[in-house]
Amino acid sequence: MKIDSALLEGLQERSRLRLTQEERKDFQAGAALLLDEISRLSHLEPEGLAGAGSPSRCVNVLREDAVEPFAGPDAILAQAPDRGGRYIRVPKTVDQGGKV
Amino acid sequence: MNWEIVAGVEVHVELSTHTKIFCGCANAFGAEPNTLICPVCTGMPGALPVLNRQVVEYALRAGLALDCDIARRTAFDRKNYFYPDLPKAYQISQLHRPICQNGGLEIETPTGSKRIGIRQIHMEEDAGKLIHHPTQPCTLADYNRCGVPLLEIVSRPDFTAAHEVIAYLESLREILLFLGVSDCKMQEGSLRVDLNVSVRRKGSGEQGIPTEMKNISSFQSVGRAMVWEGARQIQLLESGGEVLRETRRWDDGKHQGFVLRSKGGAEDYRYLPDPDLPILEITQEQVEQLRSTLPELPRNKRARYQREMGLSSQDARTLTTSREVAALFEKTTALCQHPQEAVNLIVGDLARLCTETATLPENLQVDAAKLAALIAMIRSGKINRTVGKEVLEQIFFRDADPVVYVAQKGLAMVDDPALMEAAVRQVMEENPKSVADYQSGKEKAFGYLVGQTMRSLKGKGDPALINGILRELLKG
Repeated sequence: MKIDSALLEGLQERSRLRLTQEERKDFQAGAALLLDEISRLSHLEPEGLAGAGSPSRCVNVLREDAVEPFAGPDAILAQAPDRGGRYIRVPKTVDQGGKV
Repeated sequence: MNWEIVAGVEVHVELSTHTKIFCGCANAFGAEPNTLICPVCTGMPGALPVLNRQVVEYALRAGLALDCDIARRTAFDRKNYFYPDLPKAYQISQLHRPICQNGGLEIETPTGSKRIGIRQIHMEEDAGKLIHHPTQPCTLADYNRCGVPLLEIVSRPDFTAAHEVIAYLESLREILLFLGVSDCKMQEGSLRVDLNVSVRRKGSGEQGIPTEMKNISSFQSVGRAMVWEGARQIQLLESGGEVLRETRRWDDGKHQGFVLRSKGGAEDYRYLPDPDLPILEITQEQVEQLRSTLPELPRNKRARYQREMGLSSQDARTLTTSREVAALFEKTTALCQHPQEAVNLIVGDLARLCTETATLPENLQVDAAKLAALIAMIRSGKINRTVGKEVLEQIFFRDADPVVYVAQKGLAMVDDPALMEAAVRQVMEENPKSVADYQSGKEKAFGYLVGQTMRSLKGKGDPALINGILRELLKG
């Protein structure tokens, strides 16, 4: 499958990535290879097979609405690359101004 | 050109469960940041979500109340997106097999009732809360809200006027409150509204390209956002421009919308069935059992109050704005058998006390039996309405027993004719000029003498009896 510039622009925007020209070439080649591989699935003949919907044969696995607090929220917080007090600090995501 | 604004509404409601949708973390508002988190709701590798039974029940209750078809098999999907409000980079939601579909809700409009279609209701997890730093180039993330259970209720684009959207939202909120599935507090984010707005030429029946308006903080601002965005699109199209599919942020203070981001289609989210969550099967028996436990909904209550109890539509509406107030009214009426007296007390003086003390209906703690006893005393003439207000305040603030309070304070009406006559005679002796004025034809003096007698009886005299006694004595 061909990854054209428009598709690549869209993917960059959605994934919030800025690629250099070199990276774009690599990405185009790599992604095309990957998609070609995936497209082999279209050669399968699923006629007559029921859709799985879920890979599990289980149904109705439910739990009661009872609080079971996790003992180590601080351990999770400690994994954050950057923190501000008890908050996890990440690069700014939104320009609050915006155009009308 | 004749344009028509068309809108659809997506409402997210946080459910009033004890725990989150897929883990045992508490579902609570206002906790210290990042204290109500665990490996499941922060997406740690290897953690497995397990669905909360109560969420399913609440979704079904909402679906039945909103006249939806209930899916026999329902499943969850992953909605992938890159944004730090969900640490696992996808939201567990329902796209392919939502739990409820094809419902509707009747709203009242100035031209009669109108049915607004509900395309679907689905269960999903909420995202975390981001605080965008005003000066530094960073955003602060609190994941306590990650995994809080949500219902997303998606209407069809059936709205053509702002007042219809407001009526729909008010009606939807009432229903959800009566069902007890959410507290619907917009100020705490437990009810959030996104508006999809497009425009088309009147009568064309076409569907224009919609934009999505977010950050709408009140029902009234939904109306303002719809009108503003519709006008922007019309101006754009008339000047030869093109409406872009984008998400916009409504700023109610500036009365303006701003571009937030270009909006992707469903394919951009790369939905896929969530392999960690098994299919959920719902039986007809479950559905019927739940249907039998649904409470009477506000619209039906209003109709019954008017039909069976003779209440005005305004009173019926006021009583049904809250489940708690409606329950108090019904219990009080059942005990005192006088619905209009109960309305007068609840909609009048009790509502005033609630306003003065900023008491929300859900926090109102007034014993219906005490209200009924108060009404009985007023109706039997044991106390007058002025004293009744004082007794009601004692019930409201101190949970006082009205019968005991009236006895202790000596507030019962004077019903001994001899005592009343003595009081009237005393007033006549003390006000000879007024007596003479009345006898010379000045009717005004009569009222003055009645007032003085009431005063001497500390407001506890029966005005009709006083009138009769006074007229007799003045004749003499």
